[in-house]
Amino acid sequence: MSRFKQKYWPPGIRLQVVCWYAAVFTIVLLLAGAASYHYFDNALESSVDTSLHIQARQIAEEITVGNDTIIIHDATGSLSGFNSTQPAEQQVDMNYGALVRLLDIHGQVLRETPASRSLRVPAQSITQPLRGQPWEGTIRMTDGQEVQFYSQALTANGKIFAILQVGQSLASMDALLRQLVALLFIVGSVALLLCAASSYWLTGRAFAPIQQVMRTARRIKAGDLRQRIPLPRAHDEIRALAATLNEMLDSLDQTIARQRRFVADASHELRTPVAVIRNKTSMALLGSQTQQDYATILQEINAETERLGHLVSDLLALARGDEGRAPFEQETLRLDLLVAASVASAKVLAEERGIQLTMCIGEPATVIGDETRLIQVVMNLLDNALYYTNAGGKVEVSVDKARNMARLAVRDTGVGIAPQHLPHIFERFYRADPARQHMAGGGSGLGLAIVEWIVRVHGGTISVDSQVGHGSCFTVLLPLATSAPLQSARDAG
Amino acid sequence: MRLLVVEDHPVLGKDLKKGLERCHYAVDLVANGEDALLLGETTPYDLIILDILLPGLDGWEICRRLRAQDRRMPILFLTARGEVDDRIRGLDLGADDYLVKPFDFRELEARVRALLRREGSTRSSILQFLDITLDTRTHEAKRGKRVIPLSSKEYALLRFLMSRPREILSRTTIAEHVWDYDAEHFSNVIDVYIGYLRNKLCAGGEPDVIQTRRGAGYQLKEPDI
Repeated sequence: MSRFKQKYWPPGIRLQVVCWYAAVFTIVLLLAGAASYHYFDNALESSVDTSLHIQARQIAEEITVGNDTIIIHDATGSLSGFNSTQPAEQQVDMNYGALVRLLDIHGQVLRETPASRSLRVPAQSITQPLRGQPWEGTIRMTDGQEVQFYSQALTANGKIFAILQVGQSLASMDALLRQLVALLFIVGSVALLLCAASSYWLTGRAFAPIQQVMRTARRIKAGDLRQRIPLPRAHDEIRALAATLNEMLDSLDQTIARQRRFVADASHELRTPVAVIRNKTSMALLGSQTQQDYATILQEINAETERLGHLVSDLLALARGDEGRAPFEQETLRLDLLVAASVASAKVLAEERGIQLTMCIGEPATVIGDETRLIQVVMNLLDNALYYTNAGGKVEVSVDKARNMARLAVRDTGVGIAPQHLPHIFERFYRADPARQHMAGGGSGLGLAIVEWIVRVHGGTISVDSQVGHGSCFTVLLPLATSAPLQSARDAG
Repeated sequence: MRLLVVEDHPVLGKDLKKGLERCHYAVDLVANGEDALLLGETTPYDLIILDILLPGLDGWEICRRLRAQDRRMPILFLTARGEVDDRIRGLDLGADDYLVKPFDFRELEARVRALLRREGSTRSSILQFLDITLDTRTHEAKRGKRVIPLSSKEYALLRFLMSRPREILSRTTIAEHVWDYDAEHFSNVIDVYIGYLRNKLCAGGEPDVIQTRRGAGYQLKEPDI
C-alpha cells in the first residue's frame, strides 16, 4: 500500500488530468441523468392523468339518472364487478382491476370495482368535487403502492347527483422509471470509463512532444552545451518551452565559456610572472655574477612577485564577489573628499608621466558605501586613465550631482577605445590592445572588472564613452546617501 | 594591529571579531585548527587569540607548532579550561597569556593592549612620537594640544606607524597589519589613507612626519630641517 502510495502520490499531471476529466464528466452525466429522469417522470405522470380524464369521461357518459335512480350502461365492459356492492372477499391486485367508484352526494359508495375496496381515499376527494372542482392526487396504499386518483362530480341539469372516482396504479410507471435509471447508470458508467481511458490516451499524446524535448535535453550533457532542442513547427506551448530551454542553454553556454576563458586567462596571467621569476633565478644560479647583478635580479624578482600578489588579490576579490562572500561596509562618506584624496595621491604618478591631472569638484556629495572599495574604484579608474594617456595629455576628474545620484567622471585625452571593444571593456582580462599589457605599469587586466563589480554592489552604474585618438570618459553614478542603502553583496554578485 | 581569533563557537567568535574591530583592530576569525595554523604560519599577525578545544588541531598543538617555527607573535589562550595544570601547560608551550572563560571583554581588550605594548618601545598605553600622542585606551589622537578626529582605518594606520617609528614600512607590510584577510591588499588604497592621515596630522600647519620612501613605502620620521 505504501509503495502504491509512493508511486502514485502525489499524482502525476497525467493522472490528475484523467481524474479531473472523470470528475467533470461525472457531474455532467449526473445532471443529464437527473434532467432526463425528471422529464420522463413528468411526461409519464401527465399521460396517466390524461388517460384518467378520458376514462372518467367515458364512464360518466355511461351513467345517467332517471327518476332519482342511477342507471349504468356498461357498454365498454370494462367495469367487471362494478355492479356488486358487497365487499370483496379477498384482496384484489390493483394493477389488473380497474379502479372505479361511484358515490352519492353524501359520500356513500353506490358502486365500486372490487379493486377499489381496499382504497383509503381522503375526504377531500369527495368534498372538493361537491364544490364543483375535480380533485386529483396520488394516494399511497398501505402496502406502499401508489395510485393516481381522479375524482369528479356527475351532474344532470346542472345538479350534482353523484361522484365518480377513477384511479390507476403507478406501479408500471415506477417500473419504467427504474429501468430508465438502470439504463442511465449503465450507459453513464461505460461513458465514464471511455472518457477516462480516452483522456489518459489524449494526455499521453499531448505530452509526447514534451517527452521529445526531455529526451533531447537529457542528451545535452554539461560538456556539450552547443546542442539545441529542435523547435517544433507548430507555434504552440511546446515550441515556447523548447525556445525557453534553448535560451537558457545559450546563457549557460556563454557563462561557462566565459568562466573557462577566465580560468584560462588567469592561468596564463599567473604563468607569465612565474616564468619571469624562474628565468631570473636560473640566471642567478648560474653563478659568476657580481654582487650588483644579484641585487638587480632580486629587485626584479621582488617587483614580479608584487605583480603576482596584486593579480592573486584581484582574482580573490572577484571570486569572493562571485560567491557573494565579500563583506562591504556601509559608512556615510563624502565622495568628493574621497576623490580629492585619491587624485592627490595619484598626482605623483601623473607628474612622472608628464600628464596634467586636474580635478573639478562641483558640490559635496554624500554616499553610503565601503570607503576602501570606493577608493579602489577611483584609483583603478585613475590608473587606467593615466596608463592609456600619453605624455602631454590631460586627465580630468569631476564630481557632481545628477538628480538623486552622485556622478564621478574620469575623462582622459588618451588613445581611446575602438567601438568594437567598448561592450567588453568591463570583462575580466579583456584588453583592447593586447600589445600594451606588458608595458611598464600595466595592470592585471582585472581593474575595470573590479570597478564594475564594486559599483554594482553599491547600487550604481558605470558607463564609458570613447573616441579612438581623442580619449575616453568613464562615468560612475552612485546613489546619494538618502536615496538607497547598499544592497547586499550576494544580490548583486 | 592585526589579530587572529581562533574560536569555534559561532556566536562568541563573531562577537569577539566585532568587539575587537570596534577597538580598531583588523581581525581575522577562523573556526578550525588547520586554518588557524596555516594563517598563523603565513601572515605576520600582531597577536593570536587561541581557543584550546577546536575541530582539527587543538590550541596546544597550534601554539607548539608556531613556536617551533619561531613565530614570535604574542599568543593569548582564551579557553574554558581553567585548571592550574592547563594554565601552566599553556604558558609553558609558549603562550604569553591565559584567560579563562567566562571573561569580561574589557579585561580581554586590556590584556590585548598589554601584549601589544610589550612588542613596542614603550610600556605605556599612550604612544608618543614627537608631539603626536595616541591613547590606545581611549583611541584619542592628539598633536600637541590639538585633538585629531580619526576614522577607524586612519586610527589603525597611525597606531601601526607609531608602533614602528623610523622603520620603513612597505605597503604590503602596512596592508598586512592594518587590513584583515577579507580586504585584499591594494597598495594604491593605502596611499590614499596615508594622504588622509597626513592632511589631518598637518591640519594645524605642523610639519609632515610621514615620509614617502619611493619604491619602498612609508616611514614615520622626524621632519627634515
